Amino acid sequence: MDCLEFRRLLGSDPRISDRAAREHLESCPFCTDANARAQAFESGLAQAMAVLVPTGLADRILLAQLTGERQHQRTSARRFGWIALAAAACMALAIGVVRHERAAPASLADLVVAHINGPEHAALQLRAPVAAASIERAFADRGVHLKSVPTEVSYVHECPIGAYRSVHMVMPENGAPVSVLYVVDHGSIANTDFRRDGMQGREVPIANGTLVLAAQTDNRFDAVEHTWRDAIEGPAQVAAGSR
Amino acid sequence: MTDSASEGRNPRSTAAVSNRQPQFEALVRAHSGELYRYAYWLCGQDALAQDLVQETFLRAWRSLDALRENVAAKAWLSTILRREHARLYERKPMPTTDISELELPDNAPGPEHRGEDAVLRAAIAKLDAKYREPLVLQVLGGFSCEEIARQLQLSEAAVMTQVFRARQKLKALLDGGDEEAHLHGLS
Repeated sequence: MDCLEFRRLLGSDPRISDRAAREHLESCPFCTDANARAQAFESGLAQAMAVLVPTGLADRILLAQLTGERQHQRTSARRFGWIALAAAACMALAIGVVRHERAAPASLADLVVAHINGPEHAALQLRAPVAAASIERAFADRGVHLKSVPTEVSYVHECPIGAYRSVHMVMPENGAPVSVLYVVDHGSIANTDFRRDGMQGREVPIANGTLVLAAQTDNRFDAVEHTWRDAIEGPAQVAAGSR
Repeated sequence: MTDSASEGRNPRSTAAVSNRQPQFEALVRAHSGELYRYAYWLCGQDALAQDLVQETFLRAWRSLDALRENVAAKAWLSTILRREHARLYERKPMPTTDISELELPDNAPGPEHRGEDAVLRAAIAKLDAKYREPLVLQVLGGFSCEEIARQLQLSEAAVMTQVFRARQKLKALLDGGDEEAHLHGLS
């Protein structure tokens, strides 16, 4: 390789992976100088091109994907609704003919755990806090006006849970995320702890709905329950002994 | 491998979605920053670049089954992004702003580098897209001329010529009277 070939190669790809080019570089002081200038230029070029990446870009993309996936599932459900309806009718008829049994309806705990372990499972990985306004808006859409807004929420979405309407949130809790769902039109009578599919859970009646907590362990349940009772009912009622 | 090849067939069962989700999340976390920079140098606008990256990943999610090897992910995503950028202008005429007229963000680590980056960025922005794009793929993406040629559907010789000329033009722009560029030895 001569100097001219080397300089052309240097201008088109300064990484010099070609063996003949490396051998020429070792033997030619002029091209060694040219290579040093080219590498300095490349370094400046790479630094200049590395514009600042917006904070939270990856989290926003993942949230958009989760939301889009959910909408797609709803659209698909509508599109094939008549098939589902026909299939359901056939199934109901078959079941009715063969056996006269009624299946017990799924409990709220079953529905919540199935929802958390479904497509929204990735929401548990989110860490960046969502805006307080998003949380307030989600609750307001469900007819609940928060007295205060907890800050440590990394995911919020208005999700249907079976026939119920809910606000689905995730609190990262230092790497042990807790799924928090406020089911607005479900009335529980008393606090109930449950265990499903390896998850600990708790149902807590608050105001006119039920707060459902689910996580790998129940270590943070008391604190999270307290936080959301304050947020939904206000601290005054807690102090007055509404629990 | 095309991004549209498998858009029509989407495994929508909960189990399938759950299996694909970690792979997708890893892709987003690994490549979103680099893809944003590529998008930024394609369109020259921060908000539009973010939209492009988001659209790219949403399209990638729908076609994730087409990605057979994770090592090919970067080139695959770059191709989707470039097509998405082209589609953007096919769908509707965008308000066009010459990239050279835009204010470029400066994330230089210290004041001593601020001027240097600003001068060089302005010069990069002045390059024609046909020179800027392969240069960005090479410098930021780390692609070889052969890989760039495949992505841009050009011959390898054409890519080598374009990146060579891109550097020559940059040096000429920096030589063109900017003392700061001389000061920092970039010209």
